[in-house]
Amino acid sequence: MIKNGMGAAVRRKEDYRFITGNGQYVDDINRPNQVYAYIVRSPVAHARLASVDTAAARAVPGVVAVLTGADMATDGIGGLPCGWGIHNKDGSPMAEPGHPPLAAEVVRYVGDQVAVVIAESKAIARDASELVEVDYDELPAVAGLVAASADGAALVWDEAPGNICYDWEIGDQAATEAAFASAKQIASIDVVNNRLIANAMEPRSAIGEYDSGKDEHTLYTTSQNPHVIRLLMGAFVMGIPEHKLRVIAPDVGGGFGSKIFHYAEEAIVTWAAKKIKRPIKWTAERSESFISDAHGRDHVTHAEMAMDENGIFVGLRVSTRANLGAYLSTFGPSVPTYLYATLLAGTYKTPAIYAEVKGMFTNTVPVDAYRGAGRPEASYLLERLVDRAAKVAGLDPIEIRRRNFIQPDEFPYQTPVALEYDTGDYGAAVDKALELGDYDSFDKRKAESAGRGKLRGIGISTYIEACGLAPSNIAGALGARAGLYEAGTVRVNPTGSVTVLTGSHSHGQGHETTFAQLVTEALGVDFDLVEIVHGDTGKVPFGMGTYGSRSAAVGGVALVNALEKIRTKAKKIAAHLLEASEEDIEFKEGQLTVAGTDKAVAFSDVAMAAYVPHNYPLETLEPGLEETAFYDPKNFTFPAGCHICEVEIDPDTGVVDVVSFTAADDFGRVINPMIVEGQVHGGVAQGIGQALYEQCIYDESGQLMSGSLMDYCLPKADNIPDFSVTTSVTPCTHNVLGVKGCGEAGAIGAPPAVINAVLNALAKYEVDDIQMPATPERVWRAIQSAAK
Amino acid sequence: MAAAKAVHKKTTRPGAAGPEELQQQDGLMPTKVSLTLNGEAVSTEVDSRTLLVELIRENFIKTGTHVGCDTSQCGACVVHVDGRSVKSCTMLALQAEGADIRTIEGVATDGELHPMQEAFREHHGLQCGYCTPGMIMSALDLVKNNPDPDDREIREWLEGNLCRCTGYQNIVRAVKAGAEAMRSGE
Amino acid sequence: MEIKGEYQIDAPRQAVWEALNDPEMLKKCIPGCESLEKVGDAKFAAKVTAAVGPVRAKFNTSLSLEDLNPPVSYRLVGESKAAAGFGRGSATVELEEQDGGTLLRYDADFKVGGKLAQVGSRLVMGATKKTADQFFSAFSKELDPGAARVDAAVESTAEPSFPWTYVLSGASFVVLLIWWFLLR
Repeated sequence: MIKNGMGAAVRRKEDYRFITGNGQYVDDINRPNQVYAYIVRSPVAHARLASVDTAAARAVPGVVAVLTGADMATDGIGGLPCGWGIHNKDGSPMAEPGHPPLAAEVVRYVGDQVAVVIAESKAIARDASELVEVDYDELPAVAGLVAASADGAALVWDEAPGNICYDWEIGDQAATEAAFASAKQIASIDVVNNRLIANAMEPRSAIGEYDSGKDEHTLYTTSQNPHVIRLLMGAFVMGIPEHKLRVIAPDVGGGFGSKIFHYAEEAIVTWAAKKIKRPIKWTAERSESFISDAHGRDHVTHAEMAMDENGIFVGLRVSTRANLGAYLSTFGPSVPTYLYATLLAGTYKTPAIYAEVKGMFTNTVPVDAYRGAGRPEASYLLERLVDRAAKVAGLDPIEIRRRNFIQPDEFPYQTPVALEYDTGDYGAAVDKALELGDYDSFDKRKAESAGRGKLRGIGISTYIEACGLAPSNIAGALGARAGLYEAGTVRVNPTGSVTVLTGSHSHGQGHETTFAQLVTEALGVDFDLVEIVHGDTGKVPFGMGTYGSRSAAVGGVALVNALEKIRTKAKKIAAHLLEASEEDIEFKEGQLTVAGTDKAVAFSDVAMAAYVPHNYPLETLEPGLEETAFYDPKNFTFPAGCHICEVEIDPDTGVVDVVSFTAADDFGRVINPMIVEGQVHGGVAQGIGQALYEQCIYDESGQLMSGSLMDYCLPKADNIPDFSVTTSVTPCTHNVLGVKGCGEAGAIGAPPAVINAVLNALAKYEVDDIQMPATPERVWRAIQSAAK
Repeated sequence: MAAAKAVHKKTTRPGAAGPEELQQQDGLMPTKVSLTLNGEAVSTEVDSRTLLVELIRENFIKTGTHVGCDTSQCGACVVHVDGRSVKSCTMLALQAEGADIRTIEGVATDGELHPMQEAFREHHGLQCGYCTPGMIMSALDLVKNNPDPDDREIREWLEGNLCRCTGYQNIVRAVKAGAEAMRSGE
Repeated sequence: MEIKGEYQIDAPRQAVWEALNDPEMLKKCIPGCESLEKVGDAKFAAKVTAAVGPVRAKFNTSLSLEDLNPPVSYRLVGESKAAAGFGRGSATVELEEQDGGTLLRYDADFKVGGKLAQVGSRLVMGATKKTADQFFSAFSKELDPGAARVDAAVESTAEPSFPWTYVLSGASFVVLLIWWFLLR
């Protein structure tokens, strides 16, 4: 194995700057002559703006400008676009109301942007914002899915009757009904997928800057995909062509989906910077993040599984309502449809599936992708339902899964809900997890816990996800309004060091390390001589960014393809230098050798020859050594795995303690096992957070009641156990790296494993349902009501 | 401890505060503050409402100390004030008058990483890096008081430092290893 | 949310009632009160600024009095707005002669919105209690500087907690509700 190449647990390149305090996040950047923006946000969930009086705020010394939605409309600034269109059952398009960055007429959620105050200091901007007098003519509001669907419910949008954005379906309804008609047994379930807030530790921030000499805009922003922001904001909001708009996403402190989307503040600072001709910085306070970052999940679902007499699944029908919030966020509509219902086959051979999804508007913050995006919703629903099916069928939860798994020799496997899985071995992952989690001796541990007055439970989930977004033609046919390729450029510098330009953005995933490993593997260049550049549209020509566990499977493959082009050209140059035929050149560990001889040239000498082409085949080959590849994947990748959770419950208090968690995941080939394990840890922690701690709560009038870290419970160090993590590998069949993606798996597999474990622990009370988060109060009440 | 020095104290009967007084309370009049930052004597003028973290980040441009929340939950802003870890968003800049402040930038000496910093890298105790400076500063205070902490003690100590990336396991490993390295280095 | 409380004031009921009718007196005692005006029949407007730590907010409050039964009881309906959020609701207040002084009881039901709601009703409760105590302490002193004594007791349906800075400013609304309804 090449040192620091594929498969090595290389320590991360990026760490040095972070552990010494030298990272550079957006709020760490200060531009000359910079001023500060503070956004005035609606305190009410739904209202007509009767008046917005900015005179008093403008009069405050140090205030540079106070701008409103009316000013924006005057300047012809467009609305924030939605990147994915969904069609109704009847083929008509979804309701797609406009989304002005600053509301001009109506505000539709608590936090909706009303005005921006720009001042010499943050404090002045904030003080002056309190002098902006806004007269809100309140309108009736709806916050929850039940209220929004009620007869006569207040409407968020007049153009969306019943608050329905779309009423969508997938699968074969007739076949599914037939399966149910012939079923011997049926399990059914109602689940709520709780509303969550990503809460990356770095709050969002944006700096807008305008160079009037060149008529160029620069936006520094906390984004997972600066090129997508350039595309969306340039083309749809601001009308700035690509060559006049540079978007820079420097170090970004976590995203988890919430930093994919194009946000109002990015457009506001870009627009205002040109107006006032000074750089403008905006940074969210955490309480502002709660009411302005897109939220996640928020589904209400009823589902039924039809089985034959042996517990074999014959049909699944699912009916889901999904909260989209007040406006359509960038990818909001796609999450509860193509990223959710297409995964309802799970790891099982259910032959007939029918799902319908109503996307609903409410007077709440827009809802969009959060770690897993649709797939955790599918996995949670399915794995809860399968546990219930096991009960109905009188089977062990593991046995019913094994009976229904797609078998290793059945790939490629076409599901009834559009996807074709390329490869997998679900039974193998279960075997590994059972062994690592010492499943067989659970009863002993349960007895030991009982001796201490605790209820111990064990829960299992098997999950599958579709990652590596995405084949552009398929995504386009399903409503995506952008390509989903990735681009990578390899620039070999004259002395043999390598600069890589990638469209994949790293905000914790460690691309600067794993991508450098790919370069070292391919070219034999010393790991320390490789630099990965990302996050700047001024340096990296194209890219689609980081989300959906796509960086290795799409960005990594683009890079490998570019590296292959470098290898090919290097061989040509070497053949010339060594006076041999190109076919006879072997390229291994940084040396280009004429096969079967000791004639060799180092890669760095080849690079030098490319840039100092004194002895070079100029008539047949261009000088220089730089190659770009665009890669558009042939299919999604399908990471899958098995998670096992053990909990201990204190019956007197209802407190649930996760005492062990085991994950056996199939991510395909692994570039850096240390980083992959870290991704699993983080994902599982967020999954445990969803299952036990986190919940976004609105009151009936649309006020966010859980709007700070005092009220919204993120998992803390002492809430989480050590995890046991392993991998069970079947390489992806359709990309050269054989990789599938690992970023979201934990958040997908963990919630059902945790809740299944909680229910297992409460089995003696015959509690058959508990909603997430399984707070001490909910668990205690479940025990109390069962005891009665 | 200098941090306890109350510059802001004022006794006023409720109801008597007029606009001028509010202006004073709000500290719109700049006041000088002098302190030691990473071993260097520094001074500047701040509004009395300026928080210590704002002083560090905005006046002295030491941006390694981060702000992750506005309710003192996250710990991204932990620094050392006279040797003790403090969430620098919970302290006014003027309270730091005369204090010895150490931030993450002052942990490595002459370009050589502190063993705790090394341990975070070696054990993959960070991903996005945003919580990391606060984690390291907290961990150093823990080890100062408890040179050989076990997992439970580390997890409890770090309750006031939120991390959304790592699931904490590798942070706990790193702190343990860092503590061990610090013990053997003494 | 609901909040109830009572205060024992060392002054006769009629004196309390009259003091509560004196806008200047109230202005003095309400923490951060800048102005207090009668804007119509049993309708009032007030501006209250509260500043704690890094946060300051100016609350514009409008109030109307209903079910007047001087000097015994009132119902107060009102709304208070600031950039940090808003509060709206109603309260009943009763004055009862007791131990040679006056026992004031209030029972308020109110809703908060914006940042005030966001950071948690528990905190609003705690902050409200503190602000109310400040008011009655000052009020009692003004009434009888020689013999100020306030016994305060507040109970609420939510657990009290430490007051968070800007919530305190929002809580002025509830306090305003309380004496406002003592004001005619």
